[in-house]
Amino acid sequence: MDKLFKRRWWKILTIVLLVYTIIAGLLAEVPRLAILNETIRVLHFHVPMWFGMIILLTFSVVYAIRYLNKPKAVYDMYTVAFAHAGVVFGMLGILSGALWANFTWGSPWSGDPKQNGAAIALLIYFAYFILRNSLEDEQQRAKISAVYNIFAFAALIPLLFILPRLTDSLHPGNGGNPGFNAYDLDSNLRMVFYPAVVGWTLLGGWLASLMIRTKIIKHKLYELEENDVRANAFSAAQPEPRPLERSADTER
Amino acid sequence: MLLHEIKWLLKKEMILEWRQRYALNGILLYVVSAVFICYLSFNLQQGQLNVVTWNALFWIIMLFVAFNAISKSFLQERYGRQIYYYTLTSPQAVILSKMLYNLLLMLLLAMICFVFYAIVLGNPVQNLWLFGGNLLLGAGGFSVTLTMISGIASKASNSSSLMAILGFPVMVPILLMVIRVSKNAIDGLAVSVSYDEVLVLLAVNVMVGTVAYILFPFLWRS
Amino acid sequence: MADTFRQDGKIYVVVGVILLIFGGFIVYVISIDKKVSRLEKELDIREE
Repeated sequence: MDKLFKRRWWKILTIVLLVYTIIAGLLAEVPRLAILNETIRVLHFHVPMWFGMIILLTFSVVYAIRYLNKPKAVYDMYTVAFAHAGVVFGMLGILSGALWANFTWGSPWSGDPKQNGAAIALLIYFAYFILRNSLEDEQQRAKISAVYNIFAFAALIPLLFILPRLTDSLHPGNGGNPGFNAYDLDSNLRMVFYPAVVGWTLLGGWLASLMIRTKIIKHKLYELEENDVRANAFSAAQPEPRPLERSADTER
Repeated sequence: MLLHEIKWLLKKEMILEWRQRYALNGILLYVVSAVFICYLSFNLQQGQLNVVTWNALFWIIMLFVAFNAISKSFLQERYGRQIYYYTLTSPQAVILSKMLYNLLLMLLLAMICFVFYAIVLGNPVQNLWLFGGNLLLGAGGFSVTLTMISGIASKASNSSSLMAILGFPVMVPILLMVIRVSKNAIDGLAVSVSYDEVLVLLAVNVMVGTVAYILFPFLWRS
Repeated sequence: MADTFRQDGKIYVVVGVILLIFGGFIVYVISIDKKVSRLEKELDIREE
């Protein structure tokens, strides 16, 4: 994945897709729906936050598994960076959802199971970061947090996907509401929505990639510093050359 | 071989616990105090507690009891002894035996808690079989998740608070399901109404147990 | 629906503002990306 990080094509694609999302999201035709009115446009911004979060957290857990398989420090960096990006998307998703809900469902927090599930998912990953901070040894930190990451992801799936379907929910597609298809059937919306998901997710990946590259640089600097220290210690151990020998050299 | 190891480890845990009865007594006292405090705070005579409140309070007490009881499983083992077990048995046996032990402990505590709770705050439960089955699934779910979390937290320095931080969010789906089924049992609704939730609880128990079984060997090595 | 709003052409203001803000963020992200690339080249961090 390292090679991919430095390529430019997908970053340009991100920018293009997001600019398209913003322009088309605001200017394109949208179905006229009750209560929602124009705010249906928020669909292209709020929902991709969730898709993005799930995709980024999936990458995080994949690298956690890879780390347990083969303990390379790089894999641990990937795990943390993707988890960070996923959590940022999650927080933005909850905030944007609360703002949207305030105007359409009546209050920012309606105790909707998907809202609650999302909040708890974020709590689980915050606990992940706290766990990492409390472990000193680097390798142990990587291993234990990888285990928790996998465990937390496994706990996440029922939270976000199964629970909301079982209960009454205000979100479309859960608890007796018509599924997303009722909105998505409108091909106009679909034309902006799918590129939006891709664009926002790529942005999340871009942010994660920057974090990973920074960590690798920091790691490299630390290594170089260690080598310096070792080299200095080594040269200090050598006895100083005697003045006689040095002048003999310069004379020649 | 694995079964033999598990049986041996299980017996060991139970014997150790019975010798001192430290955890058991501590938790029992906790249960009694918690129920009594609730009784006093609600300032009611017996049987006047709102059903929803009764249900929620019962499971909140169970949650804290579970945390207290299961946090001891890894956190109180002395370091040298861990190495001793490491040489003797497989990690899978260790985690399975601990989960089983915690399950039995939780079941016992749940029954005691329920009996005491019913005596002090009244027993509105109409479908005792469903309630009992729900207790079993709930105890199982708590035990399986918290044993694993306890294992993870024990590796860190600030273990006890870390266990709470790690454990609470992960417990919520189980708790939600259990409370819902419990409410159905209290209201005396047909079992088929709770079918979905019971299935989910069963699935969560199996899934978390499997994940813990697979992941624990990695924890064990460090 | 915001039909009058659109008739007045005010929607373009909204689009412009959002694009401006977004553009600002992207410029910032790209500048960070360039700095990281420069550091990587300096430290001779090879791709794995």
